[in-house]
Amino acid sequence: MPFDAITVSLLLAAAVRLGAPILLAALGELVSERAGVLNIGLEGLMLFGAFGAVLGLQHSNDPVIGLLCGAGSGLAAAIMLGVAEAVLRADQIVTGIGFNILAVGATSLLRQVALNGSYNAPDLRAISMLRIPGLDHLPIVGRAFFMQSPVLYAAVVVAVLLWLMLRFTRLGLIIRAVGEGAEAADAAGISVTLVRFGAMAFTGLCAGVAGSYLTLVASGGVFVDDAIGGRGYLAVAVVIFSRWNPLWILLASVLFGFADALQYQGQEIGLDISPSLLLMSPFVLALVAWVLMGQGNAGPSEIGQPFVRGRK
Amino acid sequence: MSEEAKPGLEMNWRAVIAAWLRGMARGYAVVVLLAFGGSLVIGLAILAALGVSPGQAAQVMLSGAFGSRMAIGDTLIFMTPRLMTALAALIAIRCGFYNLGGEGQLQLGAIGAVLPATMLPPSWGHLLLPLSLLSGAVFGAVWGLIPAALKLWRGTNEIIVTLMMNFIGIYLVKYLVEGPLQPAGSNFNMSAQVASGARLPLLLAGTQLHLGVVLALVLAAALWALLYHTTYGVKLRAAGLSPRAARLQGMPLSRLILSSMGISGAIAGLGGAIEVLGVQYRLIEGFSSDFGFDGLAVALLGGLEPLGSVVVALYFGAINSGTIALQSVLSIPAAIALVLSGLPIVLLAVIQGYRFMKGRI
Repeated sequence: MPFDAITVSLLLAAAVRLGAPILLAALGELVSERAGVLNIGLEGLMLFGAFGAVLGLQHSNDPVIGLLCGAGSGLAAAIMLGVAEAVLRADQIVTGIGFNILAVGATSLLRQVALNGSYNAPDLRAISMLRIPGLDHLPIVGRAFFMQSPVLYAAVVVAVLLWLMLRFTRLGLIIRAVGEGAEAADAAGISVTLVRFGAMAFTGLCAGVAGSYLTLVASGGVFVDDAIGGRGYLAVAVVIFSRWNPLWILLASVLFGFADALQYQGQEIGLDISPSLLLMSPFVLALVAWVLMGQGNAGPSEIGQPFVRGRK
Repeated sequence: MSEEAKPGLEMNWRAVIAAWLRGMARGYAVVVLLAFGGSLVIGLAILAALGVSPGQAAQVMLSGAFGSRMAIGDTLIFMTPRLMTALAALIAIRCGFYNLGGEGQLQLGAIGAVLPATMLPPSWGHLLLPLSLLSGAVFGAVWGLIPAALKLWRGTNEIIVTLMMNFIGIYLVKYLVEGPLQPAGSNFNMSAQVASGARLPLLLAGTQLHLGVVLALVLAAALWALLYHTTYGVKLRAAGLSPRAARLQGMPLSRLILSSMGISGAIAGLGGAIEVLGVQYRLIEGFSSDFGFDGLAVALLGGLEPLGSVVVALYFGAINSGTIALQSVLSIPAAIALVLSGLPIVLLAVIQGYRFMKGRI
């Protein structure tokens, strides 16, 4: 079987490309969780982003505007979710579950009302491919890391910035303080509501871009019902077993992208496994990784708990 | 098992009713009605935006849900799997275990049911039905016990584990109907038909209504009795209200979690088995339109009470059959059913959160 440099290079490139939406969504979710919000609604936020991106694309014929519309849709949806969870203290898990059901229905309804089913997407290369001159011809890694969407490069930069921000800046300290001990943070004069709301808005922005990436970069500008297919839930899992560390999220996303890539390229490398089993593999991987590592104690200790002054 | 019936843990009829009434007095029923009312208003506003008069839409939905023998049959068929997954969700959550894995347990139950129903000799006749139902329940229970065991042994977060296991279950069904369970020569992603002896009998002439709905209602009553009329139920509720206090009382917390998740998984699995043996007569990819999450929604809106869940599940059934009528009569996308299912949950959570913040609960 041909298991040469080109095959490996293609497989790696596909792994990175398909890991990107997980990476983007997980980075957004990370900030919410560090601030103490378990944002199960991530799946729905991505779905709104994916829909918004295609809507924007169809009206402008410009992929960049599509991407911005996707990011905006994610942000707008997150603001609604933030009002419910951060401001009005709705239960985060219950709201998230309801929001995800709502998102599937609303985007399907909107697709049938507002999208043109026979729309021909323009050239999407402006957001799907940016060669880094000089590096893109490197053997094996050139195609994987230097011939990708500019959105992906931006996500990598964001991951590093988030790591620095959470570790070394005052803002990072404030976010972590709110997640670890909202009562104490409140006593120190920090507005828990505002920090959590802001964190959720950031999550929405990232999730919107992640959803846009899925429709614009990974599926050629087409929106289908339930376009996210569980990747939002997967991203929530990635955050938790990356121990809330942006750099580990970077690695884990490639790993999940790899499992995703195998279903398209498995046969080329002589892997004769049913596509359904390959689709299942990221979720099995997440579970196994978890069982091996155990949960540990690394998480923000007040994750999932709505904060009300003076009440536990 | 530690000593039974500590003082203050006995329950009787009057105490149950009193507790329920106190809950009502605290306004839960009003809150739920507000959430439903708000959602219906928003739903009708959406319909108005789509150019349908709300009055006409409401009329079409009502007659689609309850207007004929056939409509009532459909509503009850749509209600059944959602009631099953709701009962599964509530027994686990009442014990303090956030089981979001009803969908996966339902999928496994469907697999468990279809194996005996298609593989055993059809000459076994009506013996196949109880066997297949039991097998479905066992498969679901095993799928439910895994996250419980992982939580107790490895400290993993059950919310995420159960969510992951949903997808594993869904893809497992997909794998089976594309490969091992697909009849030779078939190109459709479905298993062979189940033997006629394994099918749930029909209840109402002229409809597809099957015995599953009776099973679900009996199970709801049984769960209510279990929760409120047994020592086990008292312990289970106590563990859910305060794990710490329950532990200090000497209650076997891990055994409670394991057993409640076993029951929860078995009920969801039975729900999957009922869909296979009563509705589809095959294992089909995508046979469940998110019954697991719908059930969770039903349980939460029903106040995590078996009887409340019956009422809400009926609403969900009616919404589903009503929106199908909307689609066929007025060409309104049936996706609006999902909007009308998700919205009340969000509204309920928001109202409850607000009341919590204001110190009213």
